[in-house]
Amino acid sequence: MGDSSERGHMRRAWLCSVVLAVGLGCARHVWIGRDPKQFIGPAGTTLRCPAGGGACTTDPVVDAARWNQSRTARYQLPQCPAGIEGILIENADCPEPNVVVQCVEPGPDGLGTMLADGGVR
Amino acid sequence: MPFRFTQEDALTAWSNFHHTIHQRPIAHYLTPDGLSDTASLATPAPRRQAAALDDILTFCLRALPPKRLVTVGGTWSMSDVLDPLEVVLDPRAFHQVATVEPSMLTPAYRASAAPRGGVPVLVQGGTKMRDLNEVLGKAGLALQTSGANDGHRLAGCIATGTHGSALGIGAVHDTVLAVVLVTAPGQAVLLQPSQASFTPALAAWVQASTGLAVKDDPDDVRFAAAQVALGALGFVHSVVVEAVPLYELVGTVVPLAQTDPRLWAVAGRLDTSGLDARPTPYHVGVLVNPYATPSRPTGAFVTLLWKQAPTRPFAGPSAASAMVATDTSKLLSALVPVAGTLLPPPVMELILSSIIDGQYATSAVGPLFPGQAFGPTTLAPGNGRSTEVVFDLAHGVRGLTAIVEALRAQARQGRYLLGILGVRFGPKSKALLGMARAPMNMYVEVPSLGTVHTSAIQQACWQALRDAGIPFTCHWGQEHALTAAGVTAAYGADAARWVAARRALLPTAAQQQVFGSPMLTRLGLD
Repeated sequence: MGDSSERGHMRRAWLCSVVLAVGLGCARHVWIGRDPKQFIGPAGTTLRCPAGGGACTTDPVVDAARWNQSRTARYQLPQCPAGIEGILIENADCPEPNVVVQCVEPGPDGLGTMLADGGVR
Repeated sequence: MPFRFTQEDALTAWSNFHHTIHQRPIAHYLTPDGLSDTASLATPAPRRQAAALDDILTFCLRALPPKRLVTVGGTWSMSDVLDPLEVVLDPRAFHQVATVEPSMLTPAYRASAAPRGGVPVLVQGGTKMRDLNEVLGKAGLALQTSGANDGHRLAGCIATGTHGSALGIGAVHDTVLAVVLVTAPGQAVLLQPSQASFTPALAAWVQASTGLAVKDDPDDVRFAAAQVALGALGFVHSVVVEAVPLYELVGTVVPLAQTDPRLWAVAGRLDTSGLDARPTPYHVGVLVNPYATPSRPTGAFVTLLWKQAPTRPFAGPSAASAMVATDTSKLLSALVPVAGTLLPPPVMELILSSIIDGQYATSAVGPLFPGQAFGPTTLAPGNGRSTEVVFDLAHGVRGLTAIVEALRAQARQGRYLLGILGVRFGPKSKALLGMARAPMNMYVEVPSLGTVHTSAIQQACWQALRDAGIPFTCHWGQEHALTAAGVTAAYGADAARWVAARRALLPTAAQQQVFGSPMLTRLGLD
């Protein structure tokens, strides 16, 4: 019984490995980053964001090579003065998916005070 | 033609929030002051915006024939009040907010505003209500009322008569003290009532800030026209709203069976004493499940909210996401009409009532700041439909009953509303085209996910009121039953005054065409 269970477990593990390997073989990546000409500072912390919208946490993997893989579709982020609201990758399983970026809309600076000669402080 | 300080885009497919206008190409989608180039920053923002408006209006007015200019807001409207052609102005950069300098207030206004702590705040028309709530809240101020959600821009909010259910206040436009309209290149007018709140110094300040020639125009009729302008009187540059000291809302949601006389005491005469001994609430709203059996204890949910002084530091609303994905909601929209023909009405109504009960529960509400109580929408974009009818509260019980009965009759034919009736209340509006015409009014909103049956259901509601002999108006920003004859009947001489005011503000045929719309023409308001 125990032996049978172990064999079953190994079979499932093998199957998973095959599926994973096939998956990796087909893997495509999407890189979305800033315009390299617009240097704003050195690369900082790397975060990993879970599916479902939970908080991003520090990625335990540190590997500069991950940013430079083949089969990576590369996209350049726009300048969004107030930040980025979100990024939609349409049809992510396609070789060259559409990337749609929504900027944050700049809002009021706060409640201003009128200046005598026009304008607001 | 190049437009100064303006981002110009050609859009291939523009849709409004609810997709009642869908995938429309827009040749000139213009965002004044939408450029992020540093060269522009040498010119102050109000001057950049005025220059952009000059160029856009010149472009539209000089074309043969003149090009219609549509200014979009939050794009929530479902009616054709916003029905873009080839030129659209996106006012997102018009978002400055400033308190009006006290020396610009008239003595009469100061005296009248003091008891309520009124603070006039000049708000540019493109400001989002959520941003406005945030800015005011951080300064210890708040709007007196708002719509049920906060995604509108201020100009669009008032242009369509958006309202809440603050019993003593009315709609958002009833808290407006002045409106600055740009009517032609380089020309603007500051409209306010003849009992002016502001000295000419305010118009002079706008002129000094923008470079526009701003005429101070204290005129009751033109101001009342501009309070609900339907986007047709010019570009709404700024609005002065009266804010009040920050407050919290606290209260309860009470579920009631539709046979409960306490429900009809509220719906008939705003008598809330059977539900809560405290004096009249600041806000009263009712949700009615049209498919609840009479004895179901959750046939309606009455929300009662009272004002109180803040008990904690200001906070904005929590983030909200759509309750369901848009494609899921469209799947529901496709399936329910099929299910409605297969399943007997009692089964369908039980299913729908169970879903509704899952979303609304008895609870204490608050304390919430107004921007939290009426915060972001959870509606899925792209699949909403709605109409709202407004009638004298004297007809409240009969009117609401007629609508519920109409919905039940539709259900017996397999046509279901995928929503719940929202009932709100408000006093007579001061605006010429304000929907609230009686001393106290009942608003009944009939929202739904869109289905093949939604239009028939809406028509059944309108016909039920006609059959009951109840005169009604409709929300300008929602799907409506209005005709030219209906507008004349509902608004009478006020409609003619609104048209006269429009012609006074926009004296040339070209101006009228630039700020015109098919809806205006259809309703005899152009």
